[in-house]
Amino acid sequence: MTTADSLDDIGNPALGTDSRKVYILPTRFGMLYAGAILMMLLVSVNYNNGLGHLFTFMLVAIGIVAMHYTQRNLVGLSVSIHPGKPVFSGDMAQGSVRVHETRHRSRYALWLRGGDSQSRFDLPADGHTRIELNFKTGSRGWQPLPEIYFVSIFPVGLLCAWSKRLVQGPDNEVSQLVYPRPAAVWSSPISFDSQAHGAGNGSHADDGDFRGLRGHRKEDPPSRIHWRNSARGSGLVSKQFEGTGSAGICLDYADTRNTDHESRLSELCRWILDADSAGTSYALRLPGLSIAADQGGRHRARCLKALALCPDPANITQDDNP
Amino acid sequence: MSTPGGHKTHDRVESEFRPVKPRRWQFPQPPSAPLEAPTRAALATTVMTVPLALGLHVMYQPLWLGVVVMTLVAVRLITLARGLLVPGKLLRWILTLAMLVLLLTEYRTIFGRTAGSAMLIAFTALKVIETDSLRDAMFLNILTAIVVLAAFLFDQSPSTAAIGFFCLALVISNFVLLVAPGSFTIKGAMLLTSRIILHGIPLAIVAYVLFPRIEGSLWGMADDKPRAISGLSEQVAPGSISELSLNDAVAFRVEFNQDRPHHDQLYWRTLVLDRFDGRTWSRAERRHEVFPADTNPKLVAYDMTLEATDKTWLPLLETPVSVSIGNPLSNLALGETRQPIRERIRFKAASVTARYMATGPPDDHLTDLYPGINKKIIALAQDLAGDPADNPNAEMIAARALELFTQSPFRYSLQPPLLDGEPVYQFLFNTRNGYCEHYASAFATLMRAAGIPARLVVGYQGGEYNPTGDYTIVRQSNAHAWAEIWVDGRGWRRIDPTAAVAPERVEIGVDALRRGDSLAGFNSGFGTSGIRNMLRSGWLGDNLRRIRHLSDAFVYQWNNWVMAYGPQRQQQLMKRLGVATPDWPWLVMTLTAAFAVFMIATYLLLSATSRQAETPLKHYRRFKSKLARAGIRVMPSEGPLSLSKRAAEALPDHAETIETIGKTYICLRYSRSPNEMGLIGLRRAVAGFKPDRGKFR
Repeated sequence: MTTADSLDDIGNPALGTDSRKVYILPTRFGMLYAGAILMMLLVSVNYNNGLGHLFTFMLVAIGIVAMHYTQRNLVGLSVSIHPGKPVFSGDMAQGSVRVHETRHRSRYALWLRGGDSQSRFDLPADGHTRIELNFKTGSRGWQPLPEIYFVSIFPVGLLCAWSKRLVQGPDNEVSQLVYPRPAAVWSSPISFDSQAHGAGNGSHADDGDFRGLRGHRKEDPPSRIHWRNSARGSGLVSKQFEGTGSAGICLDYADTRNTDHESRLSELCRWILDADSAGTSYALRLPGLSIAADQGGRHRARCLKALALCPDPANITQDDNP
Repeated sequence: MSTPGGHKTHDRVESEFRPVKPRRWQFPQPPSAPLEAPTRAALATTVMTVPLALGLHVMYQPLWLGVVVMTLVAVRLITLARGLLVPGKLLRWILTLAMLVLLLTEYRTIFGRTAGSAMLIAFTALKVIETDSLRDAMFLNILTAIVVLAAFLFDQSPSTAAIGFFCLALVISNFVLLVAPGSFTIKGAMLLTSRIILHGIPLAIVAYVLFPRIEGSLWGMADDKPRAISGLSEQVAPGSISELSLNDAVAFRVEFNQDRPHHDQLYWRTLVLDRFDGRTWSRAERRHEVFPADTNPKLVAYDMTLEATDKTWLPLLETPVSVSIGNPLSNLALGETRQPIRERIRFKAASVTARYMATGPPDDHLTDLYPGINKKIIALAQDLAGDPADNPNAEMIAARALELFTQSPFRYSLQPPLLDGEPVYQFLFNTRNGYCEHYASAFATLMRAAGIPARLVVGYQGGEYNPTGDYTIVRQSNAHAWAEIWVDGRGWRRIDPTAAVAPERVEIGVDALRRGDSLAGFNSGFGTSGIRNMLRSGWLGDNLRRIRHLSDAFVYQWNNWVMAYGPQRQQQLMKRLGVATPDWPWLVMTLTAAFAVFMIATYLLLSATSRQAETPLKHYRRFKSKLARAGIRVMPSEGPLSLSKRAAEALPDHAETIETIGKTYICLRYSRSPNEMGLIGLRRAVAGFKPDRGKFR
């Protein structure tokens, strides 16, 4: 039921548009329309024109009914905001917003605005859709998803309704992961001659001698998991190899040239990217955390995430008083 | 990177991220309205709505304006179809200037109804030429609505109203097409529009009825040229009434409050003409004293809806005793308004239908004869008067005169021969063939020659009863002339010589005559073609008449409720609805209350229509909230399968129910094959699911 699972995470009751959260004001056209009505009324009164009165009041009534329609177009959407793939600091992240229609009526010309995106969509009754949410990322770490809101001037364009800004609450624990920005220049002090050891060799994870199995630890790369044994129900089991870790290079926080914490992380980031693209197996050592040498996309993602969330050692001592 | 340490960043983010209760309420700032380029179809419908609205003005504007405007619209439609650009700014400026110059030469002003409308039309047409963006198109649609309203100032007939309101529907549907480009077909937009309009109609009607109407105008109605209205004129010469005999235009409509008087009593006196120069009867210039109000118990009260006449006089039945508009009745027992009647008006009046009208004694000049009167006329009059020694009564003399008309070869005809020279003489002694004004004129002259004060009265006689609407229609063809003579000691008495010579004219009415019910002699006057006769009588004619009555009843109600709905009628209606003092504040307050009721009703109505459907998702949501209450954390990203599995583990007592709900929901929501439990099963399962919080903990 993957379809079911992927479709169903949209019913987040924490986010949505209800009537108390929808504002409505006339647009410029609405102002113009109101001005026209006022003029028409004056003319009708002046000429004692019955039909003119009726016509004017019909316009008034349409404006008022349209107000209900415009508000109705926005109320009753169930919304969830989802982060995109991790990106480097300063890049555009591409999250997504899932909107579900919950009031059994079709919606038209809805606009979603948030971050740097603005897109228009229609929704069939009880339908749902996924809308890209592009936003610029700031500093590394967990970045809150941008506030989003819905706007609509449907059906007559005289009134503009918009929802309160919707923000993903902390309960959902979903934020955009932002990696440090890789340092621009080549700054690696490490030569990649060790790459001969690890690279070019298909089954990279098994390059050492098999030593045995042990319980899976968090830092073990997924490629080391002994799936057959793990599947027997005794929890995850990792394979242990002799010489693993020494086969690749070690990217150590202490080796970085910069003194500033952020710049050091940027430098490390660059190293990781370079090592990854070179196909080298690499280990990462950060203050208080080390990741065993490995290679591949998952390893890279793990290392970059560690960088993204790496606390400044200078601050830890001050801040981490229990 | 100048950001602080990662950990700190994270913390800061977390705290900022919390949905803190909004700090302080701030006035919501509206975002700028999202705008999209309009589709070509939406632009085309917008442009095509314009000529329909402009078409309503065709009759009231110079031809050249219509041609110019239609050309501009056609040019824009062609450029739209070909995907060409709008004309450049320079060309548009030149067009605008040229238009302004032309209009100023035509009207010399830009104010007033006609010139103002012309400016509006020209401006709209110029706007059409440059309409390309959403803003232009929205503006053009609003302009179109204004153009429609301007057309209503010239004509408020049901057909104009129908076209005007159709234009409004098109305008709204254009809005829909513009605001949601690509989402709607034209038909879909029209459907949505009709729903919006239907929702709005109650409010529009309530506002229409309750909005306080004022008497008079806010600013002058400058330059409004009176329309040429055919009807009675202040002077009567041979032929001036018979020319109206084929005019079917409605003069007025009357609703009698009680029983309708008999047809031969329906004399609608409009003007009294007491000066005669041998050819033309006219009014003497003098001020009238106020006619003393009579308190006769046998009053005939009626409501009259009078069409625009551009004159000040009112046609009132017989001897009027009260009238709800205009000046007090004059001593000639005539009603008059202060201003020429430019629009249809409705008023109340009451009359008595007594034989004599007891107003003051006549002036001396009412026995004046015109200079150069033929001696034969005087001789005839003296003959009728008989011997002065017999002291003949005025009424006796009149009876003799009428006898003369019936016995001699006098004929009643709508197309009498032309009378040259001295019309009265020619008529009495040569042609002896005439219409009502000939008879009345000759009769009054004879009476004067016999020394009896006499005058000519012009007005309408009879009227067609409309059983559908229970009112009487009086048309221009009912225009009539008769005479009044002074009977000493009694008052003025109406004498209608036409009734003597052609009693049918008065008994059954001119309409019946024209239908050819009787009197072969009349056929010569009304065309002898067989088809017309067939239409006038027989089954087909009856049905046509019925349809005519029906449509006239509609027009009559339309006039009453749309065109004549002014301050008086509003007050009348409110009083009839039982409101003791329907004054201004009352109206405003009631209107406000009605508005509030409308807002709530619309809201409820609109939310009710959307609550009808029952979906699996709705029940699943309830299931989820029940789980949440039972202490199971429902992850937003969790699907029904994993959630129900986890829930079943957490609540082993309810495992079966939870599993059923999960499976049924997945099946109903995502599978095409029907589930045996169905929606009802899901609803029951969810309703029966009562997780106990205590057990879980």
